[in-house]
Amino acid sequence: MDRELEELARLSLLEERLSVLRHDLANRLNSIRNGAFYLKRKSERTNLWVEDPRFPLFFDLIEKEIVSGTKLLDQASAADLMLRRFEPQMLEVGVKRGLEQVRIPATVALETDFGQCVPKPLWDVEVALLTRCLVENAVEAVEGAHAGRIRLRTRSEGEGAWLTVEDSGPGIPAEAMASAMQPFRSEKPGHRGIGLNIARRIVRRYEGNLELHESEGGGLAVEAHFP
Amino acid sequence: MKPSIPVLLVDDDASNLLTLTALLEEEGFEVVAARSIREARAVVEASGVFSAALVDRNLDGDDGLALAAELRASAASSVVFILSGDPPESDMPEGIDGWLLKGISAYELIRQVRASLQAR
Repeated sequence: MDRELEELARLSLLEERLSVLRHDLANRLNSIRNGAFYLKRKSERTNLWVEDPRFPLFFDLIEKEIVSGTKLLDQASAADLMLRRFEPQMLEVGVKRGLEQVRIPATVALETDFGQCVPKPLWDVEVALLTRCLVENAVEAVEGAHAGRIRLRTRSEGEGAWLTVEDSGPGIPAEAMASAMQPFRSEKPGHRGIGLNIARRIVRRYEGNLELHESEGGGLAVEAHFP
Repeated sequence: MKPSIPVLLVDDDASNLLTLTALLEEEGFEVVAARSIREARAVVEASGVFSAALVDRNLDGDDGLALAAELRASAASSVVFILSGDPPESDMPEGIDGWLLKGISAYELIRQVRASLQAR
């Protein structure tokens, strides 16, 4: 068992849960803010506004507290609990570490292609978790098929490095691609939904992005780009 | 009296729908509210064309962007905004006139909708 990787997986799951909580609470605060704004506009035209100085004062207070609460929410993160340690290394170091932790069923063929990659300042545990999430997601897509195939490759172009995981599963309809990364569609870490969310958050920490495409065989291709 | 401006508002959150409807109506918009993509399609079929549509990005797991693109493509709305708690993932998606972050003030939201309508 890779304890460092498991610890990061737990923190990442917590970060996703916090993200959903932040989003939901921000929605609640926004409704209160909009409701208060409406009441303010209405009461501004009444005598209460003039007769009771607490009316304008309290509406200002509601606005200020909501803005301040929203800022506090934005700061609530589990990411600062992760002690990230960067070392110049090729992408494949973390990718291989992650692959060691994935169970590939006997009916699934995994093909790897580690192309030459420029060394980049990476935390291998993070790249390992990214790999685990993408490969487990692909396994889930092809599991049950008579002969599922997963293709993983790394490559470089200029300063950038890419990790691509393609599967021979049923893929995702084009109209569902944009919402495929809605968090908690599945509660299982590493499975479609939360796994892709964790993967995207990891890549974004490196100012990169995670893109979903249709693979050549009609399955899903997920591409992580480290700029 | 100014003629009211028909607006389609789509959000799966009942509180957001209620408060935004009140705000927009207060500003002279005539709001038709829908809580899902299916409701929005039914409303468009029944009510016709809207000057503006404000569509929540995440409609209970469904993709608000897909609905926004559909409204634009069918000319059901001449101006389409996305409402979201998060900024757009990369560039502004094609066919979207604006991205309204849910945390912005009501003043700013209404200003952006008006500006976009005036630019048409």
